[in-house]
Parts: sequence; C-alpha cells; structure tokens
Amino acid sequence: MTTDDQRDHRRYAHNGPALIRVEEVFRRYPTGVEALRGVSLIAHEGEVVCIIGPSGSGKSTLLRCVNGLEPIDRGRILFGDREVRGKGREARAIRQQIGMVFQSFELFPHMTALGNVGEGPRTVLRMAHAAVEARARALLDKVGLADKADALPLQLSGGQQQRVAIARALAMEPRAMLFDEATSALDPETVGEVLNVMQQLAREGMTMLVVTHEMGFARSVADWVVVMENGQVLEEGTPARIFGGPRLARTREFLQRVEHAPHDATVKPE
Amino acid sequence: MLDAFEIVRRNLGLLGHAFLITVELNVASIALALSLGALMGIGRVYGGHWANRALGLVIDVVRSIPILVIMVWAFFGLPLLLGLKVFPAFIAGVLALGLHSGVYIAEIVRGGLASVRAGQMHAALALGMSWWQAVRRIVLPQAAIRMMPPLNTRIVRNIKDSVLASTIAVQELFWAANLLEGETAKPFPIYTTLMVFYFIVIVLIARVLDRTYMKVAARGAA
Amino acid sequence: MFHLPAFLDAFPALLSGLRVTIELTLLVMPCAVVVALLLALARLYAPRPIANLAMGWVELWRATPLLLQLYWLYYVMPSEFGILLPGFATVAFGLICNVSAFLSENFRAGIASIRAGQWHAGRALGMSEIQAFFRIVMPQAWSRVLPETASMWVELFKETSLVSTLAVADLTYRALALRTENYRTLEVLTALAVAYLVLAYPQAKFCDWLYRRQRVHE
Repeated sequence: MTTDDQRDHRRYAHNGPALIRVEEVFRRYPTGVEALRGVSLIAHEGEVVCIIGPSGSGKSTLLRCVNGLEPIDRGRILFGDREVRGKGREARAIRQQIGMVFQSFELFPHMTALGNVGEGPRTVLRMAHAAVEARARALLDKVGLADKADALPLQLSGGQQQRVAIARALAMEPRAMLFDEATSALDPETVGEVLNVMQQLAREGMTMLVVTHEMGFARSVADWVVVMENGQVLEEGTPARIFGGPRLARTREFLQRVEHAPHDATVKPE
Repeated sequence: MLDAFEIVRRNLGLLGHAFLITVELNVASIALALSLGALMGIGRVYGGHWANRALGLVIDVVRSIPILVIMVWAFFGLPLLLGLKVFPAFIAGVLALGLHSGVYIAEIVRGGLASVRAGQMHAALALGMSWWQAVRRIVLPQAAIRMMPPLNTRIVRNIKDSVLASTIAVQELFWAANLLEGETAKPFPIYTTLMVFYFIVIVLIARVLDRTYMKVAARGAA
Repeated sequence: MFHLPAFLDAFPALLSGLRVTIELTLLVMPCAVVVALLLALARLYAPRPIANLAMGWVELWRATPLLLQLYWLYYVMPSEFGILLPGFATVAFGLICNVSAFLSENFRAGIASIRAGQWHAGRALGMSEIQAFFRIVMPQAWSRVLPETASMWVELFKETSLVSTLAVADLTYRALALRTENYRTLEVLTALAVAYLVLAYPQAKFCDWLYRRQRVHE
C-alpha cells in the first residue's frame, strides 16, 4: 500500500489535481455477472490514462460508470469535487462536461454530420443557431471533415464516422473525454486517422480515459496505463514500466498475446 | 356505366356529403389511433414491467375482437354502459376505428422504439441530454422512420375498414351507396363505381405514403 | 344495469352461429393458400402479360374494402350475370379472393427471398425446376411465410364477421338477431365480443410465438 500511495503522491505532484477519481467501485449486472470488483483509478487534469486488458475485463463498464450511464453498487466516483450519480439533473450536469466516444460510433443516423456535431450545443446548451453552426463547422474542420458537413452517417466510412463522433463530443467543450474502444470496429486502414485525432487531443492537454486494444497508442501517448482483468485492476504504471517490465506474469501473458495478435500487427505505433 | 354517371349526377349533393363524412371519419379515427398507439407503445417500452403487461393485455384483447363487433358494441353497448340517451354514430365509429387501429399502431411503435439500439440512448445521455430530450430528439425520430412502412399499411387498412361504419348508420360513402342501391335497384353501376373510386384513392394514398418513406428511409438506417 | 344471466344465456344462442364462422374459416383458408401460391408463382415465373395480370388482380382485391367486395359479389353477380349462388358460397368465394390476394404478396416475397444459389444447387444435383422448387425452395420459403400466414388466418377468422351483413348466419349475425329478440343489447353484444376474444386470443398468441420463433432462427 505504501508504495502505491507514494507513487500516487508523485503523480499528483507531477500532474496537478485529480479530475476523475474512481474509488473501490463494484458493479454487478442483474444477470449476476460481476463486471467491476473494487476498481480504483485516478486521472489527473491533462493526463491520458489508457485502460487495457482482455475483453470482458470490465473496461467498458467502468467507462459507462464514470459517465453515470450505468449505476454502481458500491464505492464512489468523483469528477472534480462532485460525485457522479446515475440519475437526475446533477448527473446531466457532469455528463455535459465529459465527452464520450463509443466503439460503434453511435452517430445519430437521422442527422447529417453537421447536425450530429451541433446536437449537443443546440439541445443541451441551447445555443443560438448561428453559434451552433459555427462551432460545429470548426470542429468538423479540426477532425479533417469540413467537406462532409452535409453527409449522412450512412454515407461516411467507419473512420470518418468516428471522427464525427469525436467532434460531436468535443462540441460540448468537455473537461474530459472517454474513449470506449474507439477503433475496435474500424477497418485497419482507417484506424490511423482516428488515432491521429486522439493523439492531437492529447497534445492539446485534454484529460482522456482511453479503453483500447491499440498497444502502440497506449505505449506512445498514454501518461499512465491501467491493466484490468476480471473486473479488477491487475497493475498500473507508466507505459515504460508496463510495457518494459510488467511486474505480474498475468500482465506479461496478456501483453504477449495482444502484441502477436494479427489485428494489432497491422497498426504501426504512433 | 352510363347509369352510373346518371345516378352520380342526380345525387351529387348526397354523395358529396357522404364523401366529406368518409374523410372526417378517417382523419379523426387515424388521429385518435396515432395518439393512442404512440401513448401505448411508449408506455410499453418505457413504462416499466407492469405498464407493459397491462397495456399488452389491452392490446391483445382488442386485437382479438373483429372491428365490426367493436363498432356495433361502441354504438349500441357503450351508451347503455355510460347511461347516455343520445350517442352519435359518428363518435362511435371514430372511437371504434381509432381504438382498433390504435392497438395495432401501439405494437408498431413498440417495435420501432425497440429497434433503436441502446447505444443511441447512451450517446444522447452522454451529451448531457435529459431522458426526455434523448427520447424526443434521438430515439423517436429514428423509430418513426422505421415505423413508416407498417404504419402506412395500417392507415390504408383504416380507410378500408371505415366502410364498416355504414353498419351503424354513419352516413359515409358506402352507406350512401346502399341507400342509392335501395332506391334505384341498380347495384352494378353503383357498387362498381364505388369500387373503382376506392381503388384509385387507396392506390394513390399508398403511393404517396410510400414516396414519403423513400425520401427519409436513409435517415432511419441502423 | 348489466344483467349477468342474460349475458350467460346469450352464449348457447350463439353456438349455431359459431359453427358457421368456423366452417367458413376452415373452408376459405386452404383454398386461399392454394390460390395464393398459384398467384405468387404466376407473378414470379409466368410470362410478362400473365404476371402483370396476376399483379393487377391482386392489387384489385388488396386496394378495395372487403365489405364492398362482398356486396358487389352478392348483389351484382345475380343481377348482371345471372349467377345465383347461396349466400354462404358467395361470401366464401369473396373471402377466398380477398385472403388469397394478401397471402400471395407474402408468398411471393418469401419465395423471392430464397437466394438464387439454392436454385442452382438443386439444379446442379440434377433436379428438374419443379423438383428444385418443391424440394429446395418451398421448404425454406415456407418457414419464412408461416408467421404471416398464421396472422392471416386469425385475420380471416375475425373478418368472417362481415358476412353477417349479408344474412349469412354466423356468430355476429346470431348475436345481432338475438339482440332484436330480447333487447338485452349490452349483454348480448358483450357476449359476442367475449366469444371472439376467447376464440381468437389463443390464436393470436400462437402467431406471436411463431414470429418470436422465426426471429430466433434467423
């Protein structure tokens, strides 16, 4: 415990105040599956925390809990100094400050790319029409899709859809972004364009919680890597330490498996 | 067919009035059916376990009774039950048609809402929308597009079923046709003309509804 | 206000009508299935003019109200063509035409949904086209059209009530007649609704089950 505390202290001193703080969180599904069994982690302001681990280890559940999309049974989750709860006005206020990007994009199919990006400012922030449009266009430009403003999601490639989804989340001017396997559903050749946008965001100092199978991304962009298995944190540390010399045999096994997986081999490290 | 022209020409007033009643009957009953169907469908999906069970039972009961029986019951039985002396046939017709089409529409609405992935709701909530905003702006519009084909079929069906209101003496087109048949004893021109009329109207309406769907179909894609 | 004995007494009186309703349904459905299959095949495989004719025929029956169709047959056939059939036969004929038109749409879509590769595979085994159709295509199409066909059956069961307007003494006819005899309007009509409910509810539930089963299989 003491070494952990010291490390935590070092991170705190180095990286500024904690923005997302997950404390001993448990989550059991109505089906009886225990998705989270006492998970704790911290993301400081401006930090990129990558969560890796085998499928079914609870990574995605954790992200949904952080955003209050799913209730937790025990423990607590803090965003800044406010506790995240599943329901009500307060939960919405926090969600407005956290952007989320989904594995299956979840663009709204009945709206154009521009409509998707503007939807948050329009409906939630109730911004004026002209301001919404200006912000949406600027963000589409930022993700390199200014020319696709009027396209429907159906007409976009997977990589383009995911970049629109990132722009949609950014349109709320969030303080943190959650990425839930944002590149897992993509064709190998379009993974890079999405990772580039994510890397750019990281450089701009966005606080990011990234669930990913892209080890190259975790290695080169993350400030901190958390390895999860079976609803628990196996170990955590700087990318150099996790990828250079993981302490646990189970982590080593997992890393060997993914580094040799064919789908990951096609992605060049950033 | 010369007979038909002659009969129609001589009874333009009666037929015009009957046509208007048919239109009113359909507009009112379809409006009622859509509201009822939307409420019951949303209630089944979002109202929790017991609302779902209760509404499911109501829907199954109404689905099991022929529209003619519902109509006759609404006209003769309902006023007795409510203790009403006067009960306009038109109201009974609208209620019966609206309820009958409404339960079918409720099932269409339920299916449409259920077909929108949970991820869409998550994405909307993740933007900070309220539950109601998410339903209204994200889930309902997509569901509405996917509901259109079966909904169109049901609307056409309502128009066809509306001739049954003649049995409770709503003075719509088929009622007028029967009246004229009784007066002239010329069933062939009268019923054939009405057949052709309904055929043209229904094919046209079906086509317009279909075109409308084609225009928006891409926006409802999963 | 609601007189329970009158309500209960109504049921025995409805029984003879129920027989007619069931007879009509049992007679119409098999005939309609055969006609619908022929229409579907004509639309899919017959030469252009015949296929178009079949399509027009189907559209005619689908796009007009059933009650109007029955009235047309009932009043026009004797007066214009001198065909004098018993009321039961007339409405049965009308129902067969109507139901088969709707079913043929369903069958056509079901048959068309079987991939061409299945035909080819059957032919490659040396089957004739007819063999390939009956042994390969039809069994697969059948499971796809079954739920819709079952719904049509329930639909038909309810639609037979329309024949009461043409003096065919079915369930509904009996109830309406009884009403004018004993003036227990509310009780008799409620008994009528309950009778249909008890008979059609299990059928409707069976259809739902067929739909669910199909969804699991696909």
